[in-house]
Amino acid sequence: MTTKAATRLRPDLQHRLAEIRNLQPGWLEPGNPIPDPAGLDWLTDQLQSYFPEPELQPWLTATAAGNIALEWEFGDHCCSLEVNLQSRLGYWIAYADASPEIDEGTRDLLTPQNWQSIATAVARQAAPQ
Amino acid sequence: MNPDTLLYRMVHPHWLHAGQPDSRAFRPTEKDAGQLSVYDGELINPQAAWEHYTRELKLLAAGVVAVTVSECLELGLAVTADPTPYPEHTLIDFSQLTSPGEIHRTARALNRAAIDRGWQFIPSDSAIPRTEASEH
Repeated sequence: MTTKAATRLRPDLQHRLAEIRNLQPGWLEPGNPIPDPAGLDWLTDQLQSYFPEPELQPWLTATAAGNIALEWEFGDHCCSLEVNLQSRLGYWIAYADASPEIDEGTRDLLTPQNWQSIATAVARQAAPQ
Repeated sequence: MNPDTLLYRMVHPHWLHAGQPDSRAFRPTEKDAGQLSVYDGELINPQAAWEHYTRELKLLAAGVVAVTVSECLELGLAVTADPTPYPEHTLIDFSQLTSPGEIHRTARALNRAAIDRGWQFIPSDSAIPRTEASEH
């Protein structure tokens, strides 16, 4: 099996992706799946395309359902995108601790404009308030 | 249980970030149906809880963190004893939260409280750097 090199991702994210690729079925609890390797290749490409700046690249976490959660924290501002590697749908969440408002909803991640919109929202959250 | 009772939560090794628990450690999975399992600190200490979790239940945990009953209640989460699977089993109820965003925000708040309190138990072979370990 070949995997794509994540040359533009931060070293800690490259290490994290390798960890995720090494998870075994049932890694969290009996029966839970691992993230789809081809889906991880696709997600790596998206991250490299839409988040070229290291400080805007997310932390990555595998979920019990075999999805990948992308998480950003900028002070009291938080963003999350849980990516279904099979359907290529994502669930976007963004909020600030000081506000009761939560921006959330499903995003079609096969649509480049949606990735661009997410990248813009992350950059906005990262900007000094 | 009383408001100060510690509720011990196991942290899977994958759910560590820079030596601290990721907020995902406090988010129920689909299998949990909105009920987050913890150990009642009135009935068991954190090391014994970790030993039960890893040896009896045969699940992985890099360490043990804790929140209090009152911290859950302040976030609108009910806490109930559920001794059916084992005597110390307790549930934090996320089922009243209506959206993934609310669950995310609430789990993050619980995780912050747990991080502020510090690790309650770290096994000797844990992936958690010893510099992150706080003695309790």
